[in-house]
Amino acid sequence: MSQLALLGGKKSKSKPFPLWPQFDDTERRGLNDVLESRVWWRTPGTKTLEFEEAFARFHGARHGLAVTNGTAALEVAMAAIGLQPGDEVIVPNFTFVATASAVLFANALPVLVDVRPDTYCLDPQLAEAAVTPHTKAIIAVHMGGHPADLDALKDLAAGKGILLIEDCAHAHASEWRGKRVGTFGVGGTFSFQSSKLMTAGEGGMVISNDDGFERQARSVHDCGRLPGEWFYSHFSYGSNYRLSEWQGAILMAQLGRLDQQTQQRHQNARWLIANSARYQASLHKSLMNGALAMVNTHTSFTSTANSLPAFRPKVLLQR
Amino acid sequence: MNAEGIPNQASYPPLHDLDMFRNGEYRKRLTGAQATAEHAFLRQSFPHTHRAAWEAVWIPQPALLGDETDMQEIVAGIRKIQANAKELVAHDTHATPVPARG
Repeated sequence: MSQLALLGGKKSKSKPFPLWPQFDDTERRGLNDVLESRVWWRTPGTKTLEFEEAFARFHGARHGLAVTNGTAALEVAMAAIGLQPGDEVIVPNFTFVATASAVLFANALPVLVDVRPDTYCLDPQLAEAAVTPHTKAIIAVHMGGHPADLDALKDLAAGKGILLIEDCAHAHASEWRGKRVGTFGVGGTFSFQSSKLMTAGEGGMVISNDDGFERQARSVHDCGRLPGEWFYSHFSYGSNYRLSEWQGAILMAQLGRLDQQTQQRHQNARWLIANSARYQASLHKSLMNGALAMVNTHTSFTSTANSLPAFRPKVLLQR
Repeated sequence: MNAEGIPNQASYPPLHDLDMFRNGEYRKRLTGAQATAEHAFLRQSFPHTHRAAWEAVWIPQPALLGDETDMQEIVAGIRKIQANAKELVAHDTHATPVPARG
């Protein structure tokens, strides 16, 4: 009789993992408040506004702009920096497609660069080598919640006169040198898609401490409008990336749970790291100096020389 | 791992290997000389991206909200798979060697 569950053996898991997403009466009350208010869209509403201000404060930013999803957040950020046809943006090769497609959406070229083996985040030295006179920005992706080397990337951007954007889709509550990520460059983008650390099913956010960037981003996300102007004034090209009040209410409740959940994830990640060698699994455990949150969205096990293709994703075996 | 009850998912593939970069569709978003220029990333090698993409298994974050028993069962499951890997490979007709890429 095989030991393996796949071949008839007993499963290793004896009980289910916690369900996701998590919710309680806070989400129920928030949704009911929106329902009964009959204000279900953000423009005259309070829930999404309240959430974007709270999330920005949580990440140490003056401005927060809630948008429809994380891909939209990147598209809005690319528009807000004034990305033009002919421009180039340096993007890590290892990321979700949105990091690159947002650049293409602005009719600019994503220049793909390899990642560091220890963090799976953009390699600053390779990024520097990829800079050309057309380079407008660098997008640092904090893969799995582990911050990219923000010291090196910030220095690189400043030295070359280009902009740094942080793709924080995995990095809610992640810190670099004691400061939460998202404001080391001109702006940071987040995702609240269902697999993320807090979620409304879909949703996104752009945060910034740059007033000009925020003004542009807010206008782009609301059809080119400007705050305080007549509703049918459209001052520049934009689209509708507005988050609904339903999602604002859910996300406000989710944010209230994030600190406690982050502590729990870190405690378990530390246990896995401490025990991984004993179990011969090589846990991706690099902790660069200054990085607090290393395992947020996912924990990754990297196969070692001793491991076999069984460790590799099935999708790969079927390619 | 799924059979053992440990949730996991495939890694992101390298972007430069996506169809839209390989078949040139991405160029339709570009204009001028940039649209027809040779883009170095199409012929570069990306060893670390390759390894991250094809040699890592990702465990979604809700698993990390579990208790210590959950963590013990994750590593026990992985240990069991490793110990019985030859049997698994013999059983899995899809388990052909992965071509070198990157």
